[in-house]
Amino acid sequence: MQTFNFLVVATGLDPEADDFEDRFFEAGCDDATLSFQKGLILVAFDREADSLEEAVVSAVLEVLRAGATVRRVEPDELVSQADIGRRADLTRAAISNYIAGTRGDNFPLPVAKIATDNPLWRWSEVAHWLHAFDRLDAEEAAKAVLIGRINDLIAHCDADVLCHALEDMMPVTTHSPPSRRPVVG
Amino acid sequence: MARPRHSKKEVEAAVVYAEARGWRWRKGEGHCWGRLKCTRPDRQGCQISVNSTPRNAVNHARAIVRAVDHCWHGDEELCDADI
Repeated sequence: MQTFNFLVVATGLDPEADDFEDRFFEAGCDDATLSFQKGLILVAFDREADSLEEAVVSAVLEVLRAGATVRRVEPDELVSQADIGRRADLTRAAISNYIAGTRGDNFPLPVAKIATDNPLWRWSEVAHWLHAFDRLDAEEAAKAVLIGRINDLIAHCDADVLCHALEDMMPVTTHSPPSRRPVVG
Repeated sequence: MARPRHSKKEVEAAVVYAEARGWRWRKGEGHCWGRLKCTRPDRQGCQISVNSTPRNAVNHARAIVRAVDHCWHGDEELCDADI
């Protein structure tokens, strides 16, 4: 078991309501700290699980069960050059070299705010590239891909479809109640 | 009404940390021991919910401190006060 930290960003519930916290608590989020900032509900999880996938998928399902609308999971998919530096523990100069192609080939192209001096990249693409270039360990690269995939689902599915897709992703572990285990055969 | 102490010392320390930065405490309902509100009084202000029985008091306390540090409303006021 490992503890995973991540944030589920949500909307759709009134933070002033008397039952605001109890909805989350009763859905199973007693390992999360709830806050309300910039008009968004932030559910900060410290979740013990066998895998990041199990931790994030179960957490998103619980936030949905609490009655909130899930907006995304952070660490965010869109990252600036500075974010890339922090996440991969690399200097700004090193990343500038990768982007310019003076070290390594075919660094991913930015996907947003292209015409500004602070363009954004997809972290899942950058993490994959950095891992291939031996600048990021396999675990971090796999995390990026997983969070990216879950955020794609959140962006493109309504709540019911999202629930089903997440339940299908839920890894079967020895901790699951017997009724949740698929029949082997 | 005076604020009661939180039964977990780590969480109590995090609440004291917030109060030292101008956050106010309000009694909560049900599983919520209290709500911390930042210095900005309207709905744009930040709120942190403090659990009565967090699964892990150390993690909960750390997350409270992190959320306090992410609030920029106190800085706004400090800047105004400096001028």
